[in-house]
Amino acid sequence: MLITALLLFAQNTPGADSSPQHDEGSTQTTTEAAIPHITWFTQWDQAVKEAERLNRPILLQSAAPLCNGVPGMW
Amino acid sequence: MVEASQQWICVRPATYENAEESVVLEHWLKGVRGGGGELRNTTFALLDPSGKNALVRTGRSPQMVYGDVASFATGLATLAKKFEANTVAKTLPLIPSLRLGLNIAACDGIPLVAIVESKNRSWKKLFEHLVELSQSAALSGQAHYVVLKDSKGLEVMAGYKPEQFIYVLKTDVFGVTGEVVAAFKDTKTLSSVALETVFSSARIEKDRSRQHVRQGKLEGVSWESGKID
Repeated sequence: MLITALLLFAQNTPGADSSPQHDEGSTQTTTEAAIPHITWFTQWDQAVKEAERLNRPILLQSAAPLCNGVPGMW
Repeated sequence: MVEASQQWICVRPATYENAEESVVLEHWLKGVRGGGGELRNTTFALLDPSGKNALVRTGRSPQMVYGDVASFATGLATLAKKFEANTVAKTLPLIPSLRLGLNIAACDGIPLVAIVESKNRSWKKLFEHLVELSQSAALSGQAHYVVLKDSKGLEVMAGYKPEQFIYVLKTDVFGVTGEVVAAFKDTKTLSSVALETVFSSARIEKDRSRQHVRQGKLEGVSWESGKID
């Protein structure tokens, strides 16, 4: 549920569980249609350099690209 | 949310993958409930352009700080007004390795664009063309990008074609491998329409339930965090 809420917050931004768990009963499958996505920098140094160059504030949201050791899921 | 985020530089470091970035993340978790200054799966912060000063209290997620989507969007818009942004072209956000790029692209269900470096004169022109296209309204945020020194990691993938510069990859659901959906080597064929079409066919269906983990365990798929490629 938290994941779903955060998907609304920021497309594909993961949840805040310290150990990512997902709804056992959920069978939510989505195809990522051409819906608007946030453009994410993935490297801190590159992002800061870009923020200073453009004088834009920084939205930082870290996430682990795995769930219970399995990759491909925030 | 996406519109509100456009006035910001949005950065999503992959937790546990880079020791130097871990220090940054730990710093913003000091004093956070459930954080304690130690590295956790997620960190959330809104910072000034130097990356050194928080604009609001930090947390584990936008939800923790703002509570709901509307408040978050309003907060982003209000805070962004404090900064007079320079209107120059943005840089292409890059993922540091093919291995991590495939994983992150799979997490998001969107394509990974692999750019193979070359000293060929036409490469630079093609790269600059790609950067420009990537920032159009139609393509912004629709793919992830990685620059590779050579094509070795791509040669094992289905659909690989030699002597191209830009490869659009469709990942498997776990992001451990991919297939080449399209490749480009000149600006004649690399267009917004071409990329929109290719990106559409390179998205993957995401099962966001526990079944993803079950299937991964069954297939023996695992991820080693912090592995240097």
